[in-house]
Amino acid sequence: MSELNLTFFILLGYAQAHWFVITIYIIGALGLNNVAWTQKGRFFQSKLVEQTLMGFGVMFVLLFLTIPWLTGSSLFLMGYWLDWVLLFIMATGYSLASLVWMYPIIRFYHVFKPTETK
Amino acid sequence: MTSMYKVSTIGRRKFLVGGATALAAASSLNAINVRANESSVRIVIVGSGAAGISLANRLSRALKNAKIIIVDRKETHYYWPGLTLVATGAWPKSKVLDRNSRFLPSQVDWVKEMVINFNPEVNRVETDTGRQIEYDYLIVASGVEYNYRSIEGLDIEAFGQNGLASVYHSPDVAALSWNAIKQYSQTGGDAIFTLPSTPVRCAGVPLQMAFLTIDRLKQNGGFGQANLNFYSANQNVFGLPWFNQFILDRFKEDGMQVGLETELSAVDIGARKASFKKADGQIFTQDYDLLHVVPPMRAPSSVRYSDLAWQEGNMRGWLAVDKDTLQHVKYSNVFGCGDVNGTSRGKTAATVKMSVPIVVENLLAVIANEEPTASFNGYTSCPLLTKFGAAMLIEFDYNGTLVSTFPFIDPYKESWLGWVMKEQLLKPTYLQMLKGNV
Repeated sequence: MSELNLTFFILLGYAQAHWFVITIYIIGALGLNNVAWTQKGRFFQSKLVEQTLMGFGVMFVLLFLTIPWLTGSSLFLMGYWLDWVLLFIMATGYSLASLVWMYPIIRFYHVFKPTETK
Repeated sequence: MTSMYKVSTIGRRKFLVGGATALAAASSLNAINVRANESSVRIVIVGSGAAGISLANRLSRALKNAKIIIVDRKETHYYWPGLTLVATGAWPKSKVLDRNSRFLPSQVDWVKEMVINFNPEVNRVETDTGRQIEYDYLIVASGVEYNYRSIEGLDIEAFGQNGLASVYHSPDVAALSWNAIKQYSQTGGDAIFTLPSTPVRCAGVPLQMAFLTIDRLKQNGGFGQANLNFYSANQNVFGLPWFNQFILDRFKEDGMQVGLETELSAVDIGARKASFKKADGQIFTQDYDLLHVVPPMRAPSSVRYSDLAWQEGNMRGWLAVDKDTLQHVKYSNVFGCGDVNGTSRGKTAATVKMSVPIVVENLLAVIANEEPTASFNGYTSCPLLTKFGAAMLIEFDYNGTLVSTFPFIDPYKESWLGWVMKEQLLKPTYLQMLKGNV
């Protein structure tokens, strides 16, 4: 129980320390999705979902390879199985979080991309 | 089926007994809280470091009618666990500085003076302005005093120049020390790292400074020209045998010579010479290009020369508290918390985190005329940075028994997880501790 309490407050403290980034993330996500929602056509389209999932895959690989470096470490220092678990969780989590920006951006691209003339 | 039934029965019985015990303990603690909460006692906390602020937050929540006074002139809060990263160039100084006012609850009176005398016989402390502050209960959390002066020839103003470094003194000196270490890491030469014979604040820090300097040498090109020396005034470099051997082996791999029972006694700053005294009394002098000084540490003089200190033994001068209850051994209305305590282990922020709730619980019991029963196991923790990007999470108690907070983390493994904990998560956790949440 005390471990859960500690974990909660570690995560809360981490969120508080990064409140600015989190605020920008939330405002950006709300704004982008709100505007995307008002565009013509259905919000969820299978083609766009497919492309977003591909984007998720690219983001996951990028993050998996760069997170150790971004934290001042290196992939070469990952000698413990828990390191790989943590890296997988972090890369998955941040990639999932990126979806709420990625989907509306992909939708904008399809709405505003120049139509090909035959 | 029968054995399954037995297991299930025992499990259920144990569960019921355990639950009943927990309920009884909780209701008893609640009764103590209620009785304590009704009292309008006057509590003085001496020291506004991690322990003092955390105690102030927890007590102000637990005792709505109490008058809580914290006495300390210091307005800037130092995040001590981050100084290693400042002194090795990983963090800017600004990252370890904050304001105490941000963390102190509004209902706590803050006397911005320093306690110079304790008069426990009459329940009073005296500050450096001559003010007498009376108390019903006292918590001493005044930290440690760095005794740089005991090293002949050492001048605090000289840190950062002539290869002189020390992570301990302050964030300013830690940042200056990075200048000296950075320069040394580019050129190499003779480096000396020291460890004194006194108890030290976070015993892993002197070792981390050595490890991280080696890493900087490798990054900046000076490693090939480096002659590394670590002198410990003790019979080891770390208190736990397995980790002591691990560190010695790692030092050996990096060409670090280790001298035991050898204490820094004098420095000639201009000539860059350090003198050491060995256990047999022999003195020798060695040239250096980098000298990382870990000062001998002791309790502040206000405690050291008071009736509150141990009068004899190897903890002489430190606050005389019972190691389990953290209550003073002579004055039952006095408790100690943090680095000032004369207990066998633990001068770390992790010790503060675990001991503050014990002190609060026992103080509430004493206020309610109960016996203090909460027992501290001596928990301390040291995320030992072995290089930039890797650390070992070592947690242990008074007996040196490993006590992992998260049992799935192996303390014997160097890990990136440990580094992430130290570099990213420890400070947010520390700030939650100040607020009395963890």
